[in-house]
Amino acid sequence: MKIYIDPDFKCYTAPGEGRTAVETDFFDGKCPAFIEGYRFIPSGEHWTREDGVVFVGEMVAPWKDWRELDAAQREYERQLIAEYEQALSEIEAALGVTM
Amino acid sequence: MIINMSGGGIDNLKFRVYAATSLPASGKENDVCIITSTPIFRWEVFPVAPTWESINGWVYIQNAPAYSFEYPNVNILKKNIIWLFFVKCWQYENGNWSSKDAYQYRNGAWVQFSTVFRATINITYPAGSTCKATCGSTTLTAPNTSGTWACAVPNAGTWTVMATDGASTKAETVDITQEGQELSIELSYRFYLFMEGQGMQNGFNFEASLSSYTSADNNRITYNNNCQLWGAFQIKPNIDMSIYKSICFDVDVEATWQSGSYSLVYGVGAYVSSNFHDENQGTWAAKATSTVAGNPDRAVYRVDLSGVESAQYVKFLTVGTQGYVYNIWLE
Repeated sequence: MKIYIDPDFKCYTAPGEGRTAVETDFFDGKCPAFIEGYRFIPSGEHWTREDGVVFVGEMVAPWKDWRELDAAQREYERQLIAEYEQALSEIEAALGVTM
Repeated sequence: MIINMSGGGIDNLKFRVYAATSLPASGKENDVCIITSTPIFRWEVFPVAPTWESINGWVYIQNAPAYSFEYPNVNILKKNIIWLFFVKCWQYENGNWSSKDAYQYRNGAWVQFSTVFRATINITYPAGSTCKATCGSTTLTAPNTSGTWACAVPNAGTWTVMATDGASTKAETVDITQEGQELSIELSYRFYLFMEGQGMQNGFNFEASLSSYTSADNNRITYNNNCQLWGAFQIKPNIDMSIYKSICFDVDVEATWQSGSYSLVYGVGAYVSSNFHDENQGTWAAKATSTVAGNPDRAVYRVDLSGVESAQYVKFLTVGTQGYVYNIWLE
């Protein structure tokens, strides 16, 4: 999928000023809140952390607390399942299917 | 500072040296007052800074070294007048020479000729830890566990700075050589999961995904994967990553096979119960991928864990490449 990174390699789901589009499958199926808590350093580039440690790409790592991102993703998936079940129920009702 | 002692006879060449915790309102001409709470055991004047062991309380007034015939450190100008040029005052306390605030009473006023040694070690250490700085028998302790400490050191020397959090410790030494010096040091814990020559850390297990491609002994982990299958390993159990900022793999890539794709994928994430590979994208919390080719120099491959505040498994995957992992640590 396509994401967008700013000059600090932070990820976004929408384009914006100063953002560069990159392709990655790391975020396939992930919700925007999850994606936007990550930093993505493309191959061939490097990022220097505030303490001076250098990380070379390709690297993908959360800059927000991963627990928050994971919780957001789980809630996103729970809602998706609920929507699918609702849609399935409506189809079953329309077809007169009884369990 | 030039002192001028005049008068008749040898008795008039005396001057008083005494200790006080604060400067008196006035004194006698040529009095030397040293601000200290340590009683003066004995004092002397000498033209070099003291470096040797002494007796607690000994005071050492340093006069300027003789630069040349024109600039001696003691100058007898005429009868009964001796000029001394005081530049520093030291006192031996708890095994170290400490510089002191010191004053001379001259022409009806106190004039400072020595200041307490002031140097700063700006220390960054893992928040929640205790931090100490030690030189000889002097130990300074950080006032809190915030993770930063501007440590004002009272004397030159080799200072050992140590952070401690439970069983994790990290110490480094810094040399303070001059007054006013300011330097920075960062301490981070390095916890070895696998160490060259020692193997796996006690309490942790190496689990190969495809044992024919990946194995470990006490010296190193070997991966030998010249095909397109994923040779991989995980380390069990999971580890609380919240006190670490990086996972590091010390890797020597020996060869890569140009006929196909090749890569190393490494980082932390959820446990995968059976043959895991990079298609398990959803199982990673943080990872990096290297497609370095050929036979590069042994190097450390890092992944940032700044945002990983939870327990995760360490994972390492290979495809189309052969080499060794000598060390794996968290820091």
